Amino acid sequence: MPRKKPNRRKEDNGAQLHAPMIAVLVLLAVIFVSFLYLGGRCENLGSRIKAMEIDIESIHVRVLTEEMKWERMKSPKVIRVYLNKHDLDMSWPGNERIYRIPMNKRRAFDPPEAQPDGTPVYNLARQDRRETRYD
Amino acid sequence: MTDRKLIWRLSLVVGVTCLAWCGLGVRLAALHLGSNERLKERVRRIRHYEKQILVGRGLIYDAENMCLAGTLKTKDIIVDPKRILDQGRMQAVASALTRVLDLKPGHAMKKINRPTRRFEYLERYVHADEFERLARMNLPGVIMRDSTARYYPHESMLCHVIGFSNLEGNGCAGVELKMDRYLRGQPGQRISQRDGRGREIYSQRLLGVEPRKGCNVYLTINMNVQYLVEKALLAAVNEHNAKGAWAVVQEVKTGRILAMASLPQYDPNIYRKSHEDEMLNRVIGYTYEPGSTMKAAVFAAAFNEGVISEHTVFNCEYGTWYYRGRPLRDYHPYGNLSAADVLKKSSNIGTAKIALLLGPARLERYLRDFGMGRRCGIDLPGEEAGILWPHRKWDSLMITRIPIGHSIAVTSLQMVCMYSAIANDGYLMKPLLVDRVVNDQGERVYQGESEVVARPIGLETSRMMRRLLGRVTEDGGTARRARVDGYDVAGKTGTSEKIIDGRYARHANIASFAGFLPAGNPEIAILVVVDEPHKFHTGGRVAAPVFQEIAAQLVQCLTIPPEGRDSVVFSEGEQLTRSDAETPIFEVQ
Repeated sequence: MPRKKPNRRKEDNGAQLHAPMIAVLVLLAVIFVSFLYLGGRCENLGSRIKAMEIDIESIHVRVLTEEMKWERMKSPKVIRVYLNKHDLDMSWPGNERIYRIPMNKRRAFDPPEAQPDGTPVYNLARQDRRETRYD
Repeated sequence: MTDRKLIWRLSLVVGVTCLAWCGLGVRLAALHLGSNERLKERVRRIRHYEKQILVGRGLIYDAENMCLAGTLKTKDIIVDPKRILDQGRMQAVASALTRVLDLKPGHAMKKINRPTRRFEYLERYVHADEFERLARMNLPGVIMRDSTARYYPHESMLCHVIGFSNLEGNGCAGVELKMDRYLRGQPGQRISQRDGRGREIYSQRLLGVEPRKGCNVYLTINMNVQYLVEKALLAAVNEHNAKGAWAVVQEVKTGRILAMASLPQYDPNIYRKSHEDEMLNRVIGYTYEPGSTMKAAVFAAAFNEGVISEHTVFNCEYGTWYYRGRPLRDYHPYGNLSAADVLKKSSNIGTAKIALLLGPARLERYLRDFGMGRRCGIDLPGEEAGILWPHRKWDSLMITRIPIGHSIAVTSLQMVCMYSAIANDGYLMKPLLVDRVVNDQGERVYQGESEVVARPIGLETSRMMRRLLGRVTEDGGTARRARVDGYDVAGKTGTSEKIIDGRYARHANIASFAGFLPAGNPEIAILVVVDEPHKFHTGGRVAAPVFQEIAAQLVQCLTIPPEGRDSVVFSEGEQLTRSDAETPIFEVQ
């Protein structure tokens, strides 16, 4: 009697992983790696933010200090001291040195027109033209 | 060695090792699974990180955006003497600290040479330049802790107005105190965990509240004007060897205070070393008998009531007049004088007779309308109200004494407001010192507004008073030294004796001058007071020249034309009014 041929289809091919399980494992692995990555990234960003906070603070300190030094230098009393030190006599112009231009005459002083070479020209004639046109 | 013995020894080593591991395992399990509150608390305490973020107070600016008070980030320098001594570096650390912080020799050594101490303040409020140098040196046992310090870059200038804030950052005087609720910022806070080197672990931050900066306060003061005033006062104090001097400059039409100076001064950066007397703002906190400067109010009241005209003649009794059995004297004897000349010559007798015509009830009403006997309401603490008794409590002599500035006490601010009212068509303005308060977002949280408090006199009376007060600075008047070239100046001198121990002190005077200019169209009012001048003691001799010096520079600094800003004469016969000229004029120099 011939020997019965074994049914290979029915043969056990060893332990097989189910697809959903593999998916879960892969997902877990991805989550774990992502967690590690994000954790590391957060740590890195945190330390950068912290460093920037320290930088801002020190810059702020410097700005405040320099501003106060500048304010001190601008003080009229200090300016007077330096003017005296360098023998500079600066005083307000007297009335005889001030020419006051009344409002209705100011129109004559329109913004200067620049010539091609850059020289400003105070064109008083424009005032006359404008008045003529309005008339 | 037999196998048996070897097995025994091996078993012993394995047993001991296993036992040790078991012990460690049990301990580990106990640490993790047990309650161990004490240990957990200790770890929490060590890792806990809490920091207050200081921002300091808001800034104070003048009208030209010049910073008057700011906050600096500073550090407190602390030493750990035990650590320094343990490392045997006392000499090196002490000499480095002394050099960088500019300490007194031996001070650092004294602080460090305390072997049992772990914490000693060496220097507080150290500025950035110094603590950065110190940080670079990396000295052992030297700790730096954040702090903030108020800094006043102009030092003693405007000290009485700005005031100061104490080490805790609370306003203690001046604008610092009055505007404290605006200036005070809100510190931020960080709660987190620290690493092994004491640095914050950002990812463990539990709380991060950002600090809120205090608001910035903008004053109406112009520092250039303030400087001119202080310089003139200092020169006057030195020239007359005076005990003190003070002055105030006010914009007539708006009531804005442009300058307020009081000598002696102090440096608010080192306020703890200042004397109490130097801290008094005499413009608002010192009351005095004003003397003849008070006469302007009496004349204004009498003209406004129609009791007299400028041509009404009074007999000035040739220098001495007895009223109710007590003599009243003039500085110079005069016979008959018109009301206009009574003011020009500053006759006490003539003025007293005008007050008698006016009567006590009306006189008191006008004085109160001019702001006497009550605070002006300026944005500064410590303002005095002065003394003006109700007329029902006046004795029979007071009706002749109050008009000449005796038996009444006023502050300089009240006097300058009164002269401003006379110059401002009779409108008494509230003195304005704080222009606006702006928060860190740039929004205005407070806006100072010009406010009319009262109108004691009418337009016609105001015009007449401007003209008559203008005569005081002409030849024959008491204030010739107050004249300013090219400008009509109106004003009145005043001289009074101080009351010391309840008696008038003949040799302790207060000389003053109150005035405004240009007389025809007033822009600014100035009051100058000199306390106890020596050699000369009258207002015309002592205070009027100071007024002249201030006013002459002020008109140039503020570009006030001789005719005032509202009415600009630009050629003969031609005149512009403000309605014609809406925008301000400009000058070509």
